[in-house]
Amino acid sequence: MRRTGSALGAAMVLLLATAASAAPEVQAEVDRTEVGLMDTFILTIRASNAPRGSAVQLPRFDGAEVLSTNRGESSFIQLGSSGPIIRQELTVTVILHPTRVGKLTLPPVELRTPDGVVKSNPLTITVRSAHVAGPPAAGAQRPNMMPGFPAGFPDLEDPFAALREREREAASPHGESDLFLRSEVDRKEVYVGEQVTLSVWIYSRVDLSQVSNEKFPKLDGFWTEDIESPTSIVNEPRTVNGVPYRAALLKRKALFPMRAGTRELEPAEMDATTGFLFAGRREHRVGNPLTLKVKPLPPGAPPGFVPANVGNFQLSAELSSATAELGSPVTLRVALEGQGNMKELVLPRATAPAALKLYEPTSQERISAVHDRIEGKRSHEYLVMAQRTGTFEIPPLSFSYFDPESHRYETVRTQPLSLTVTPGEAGALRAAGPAGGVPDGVRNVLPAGALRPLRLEARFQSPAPVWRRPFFLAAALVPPAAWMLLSLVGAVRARRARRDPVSEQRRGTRAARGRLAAAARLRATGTDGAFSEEVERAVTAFLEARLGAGLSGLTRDALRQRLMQAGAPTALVEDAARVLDTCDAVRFAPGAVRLDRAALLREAERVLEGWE
Amino acid sequence: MSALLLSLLLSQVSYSPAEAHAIFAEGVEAYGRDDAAGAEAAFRKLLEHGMGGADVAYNLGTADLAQGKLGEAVLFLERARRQGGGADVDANLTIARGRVVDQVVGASGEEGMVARLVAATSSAGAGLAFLIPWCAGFGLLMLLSVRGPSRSMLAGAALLLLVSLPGAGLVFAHYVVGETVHEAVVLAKTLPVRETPDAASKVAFELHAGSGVRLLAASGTFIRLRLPNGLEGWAEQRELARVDDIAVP
Repeated sequence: MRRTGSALGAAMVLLLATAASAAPEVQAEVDRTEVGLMDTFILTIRASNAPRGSAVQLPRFDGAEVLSTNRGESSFIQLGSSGPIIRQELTVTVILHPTRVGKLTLPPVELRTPDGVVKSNPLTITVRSAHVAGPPAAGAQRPNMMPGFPAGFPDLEDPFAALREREREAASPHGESDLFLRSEVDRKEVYVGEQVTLSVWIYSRVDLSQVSNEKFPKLDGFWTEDIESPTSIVNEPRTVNGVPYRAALLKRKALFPMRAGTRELEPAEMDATTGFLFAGRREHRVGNPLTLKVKPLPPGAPPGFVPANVGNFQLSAELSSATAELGSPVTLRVALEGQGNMKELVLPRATAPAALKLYEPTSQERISAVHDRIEGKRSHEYLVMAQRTGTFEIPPLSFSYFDPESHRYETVRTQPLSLTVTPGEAGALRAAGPAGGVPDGVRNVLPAGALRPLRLEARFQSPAPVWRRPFFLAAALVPPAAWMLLSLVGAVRARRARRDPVSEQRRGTRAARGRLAAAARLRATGTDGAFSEEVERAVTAFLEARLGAGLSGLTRDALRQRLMQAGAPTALVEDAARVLDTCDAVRFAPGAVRLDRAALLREAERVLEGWE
Repeated sequence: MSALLLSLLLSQVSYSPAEAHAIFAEGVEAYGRDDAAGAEAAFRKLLEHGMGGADVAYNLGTADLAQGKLGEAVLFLERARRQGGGADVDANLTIARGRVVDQVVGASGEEGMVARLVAATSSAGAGLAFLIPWCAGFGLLMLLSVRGPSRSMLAGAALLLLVSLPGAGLVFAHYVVGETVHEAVVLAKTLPVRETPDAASKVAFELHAGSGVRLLAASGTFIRLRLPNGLEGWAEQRELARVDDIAVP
């Protein structure tokens, strides 16, 4: 913004404003109602009675391109019943260039005040395909050379035309179209990381002596690189819409957008001094804004791709020598060359086998602009010191980038490099004699930290923990179990070996009862001999068990006596003697005795039950 | 679906010994050509088909180490050590652990004596140390039962059974540690360890590939872990692999 006008003008405006209404007003007007497609026209907006803090908001001009914008402002004090009020008058001059033929409607311009929005009148102009002569410039109208006669003799040559033309050339610009700033980009749609070149020009039809206070657009979100920054005004002829101009380049930059999206570049601004010496005049000019569409990189980037790698590049790697002696260094040079944002490129890092020691690289960079495109070369130089003899391979390097011309990701690779290391003369010296004069660097270093080699044979078994293996439980439990079993068997056998009178009696009694039961079974079916024999055995076995000794050889009296001594009841002694006598009689005189089997069985049972 | 089932079925089919040896040799040959990735693929194939063992685990861990896959390298070399180990396993495991970013400070003394004893011995050795005197002692006792009392034999049996007790204790220690203590290795390049089992919770510290941790309790997808110096926190289970497991991560 620039304050314009003079004290006199302000006083007049003050007087007028006092008389006029205090309501803000906006008026828009164009310098012509008909314009050619190759012509320019000027839209002038005047806002009066604008309260402090008001601003003119330009609409979007569909069908016309803004070439230049100039804003002016003057303030005055309005005296009212409530005291003095500060008012502004705002003037905005816009140079426009139509972009299509037909009726062009310029939408209303808004004046935004603290109290609300005031709109101007819409305007309509006609755009023709052919050039349309514009209105005569102020001061260019012919003077009336014959006072008293009506002005205007079209066929008469103006004798002062050349003089006036020189005067017009040298004087201050008569309109915005005589001096304007123009920013331009070489492409309006680019990929992230792709170069776009921004140029800021000043166009003039007057003598331009100095440009100062340049304010170039802020370029947040871009990597920038200066291509040209002229220190003096160098004019070149250019024609805009059929009008010849002198154009001077103020700045040329390479921009590399970092983010996708629509980016607005602010207009450039500057002060231009026209004319020379005392006739010089300073003019402020604001250029045109620019819109740039930044496309994201397409999908399909290779793994590890760096978004700054956009352009076209070649990668190379070379060794200063394919052979080296122990202790003698060789140089590995890795270079990346091409067009793109060279400063942001990251060179792939070289690697080498452990036998080759790679020192930190030194970097070199050469960047220049050729035909307004940034290109250059970045290189790393590694010092390679061989630690062991042999032939070693430096692995290939690769670099991936996006080529905006082919719209594809590309990967460039180097070839693997082979380096043969020999002991050399120093090694031969060491082998020949004492190593005193040979530096340690020529030793064939065999470090211990290398990986142990793979195993060549395999047993595909995964041993389980010992407690999960079947043999373990068996081996742990079987010995004590076997010992316990063995001990148990031994105890049983020992127990059996022991003779206990009571148990012998019980065993004998059980055997006697068994035999008596057998005799009972023979009672019905057996012969007297068999029956009596079983009964005798049962009673004999019982008595032997009770007496603890055999009965053979004992007479009846001796038996009675032994039984009595053993504490047998008298009835039982008699019963036993009678049973045995009966059995003897049946055995020795089978036909002489009539045997009562039931009675004999009862008596035998009495014997067995009668001695507890 | 049927293709999935078929592939699942095929993956479960074990190789014949000849096939397994051929794949093993293929892996060794690839490693010799400096194709560590090819070697890793061959050894993994064997493990996935149940053809494991210390040799396969060692070779796989070494191939991973050659590629800089530190988490997998420590995991498989540690499994190889537990399955029998060897000087080569110890050497490569030391190299792998030396490359781990994390340095656990103040870890000395935190490990209990039992755990250290178990780490220093093998379960098979402990089993032998127990079983040999144990069986011999009971053998003498059985001989005593058959032949009759003998003071010298009884003393010998008692001595052998007494000698078997430390071995039994060691086997028991292996059992307790093996069944209750679960160790794991960090596989992720960076593993955030959080204050609570919640992805939004504050990160207490970070671990890196190859670090060893002890697993405590699980909660959802998170598991509580402890470092040898007592630091504890919660981390995503899928970023860890258990050393005592046979699953291939």
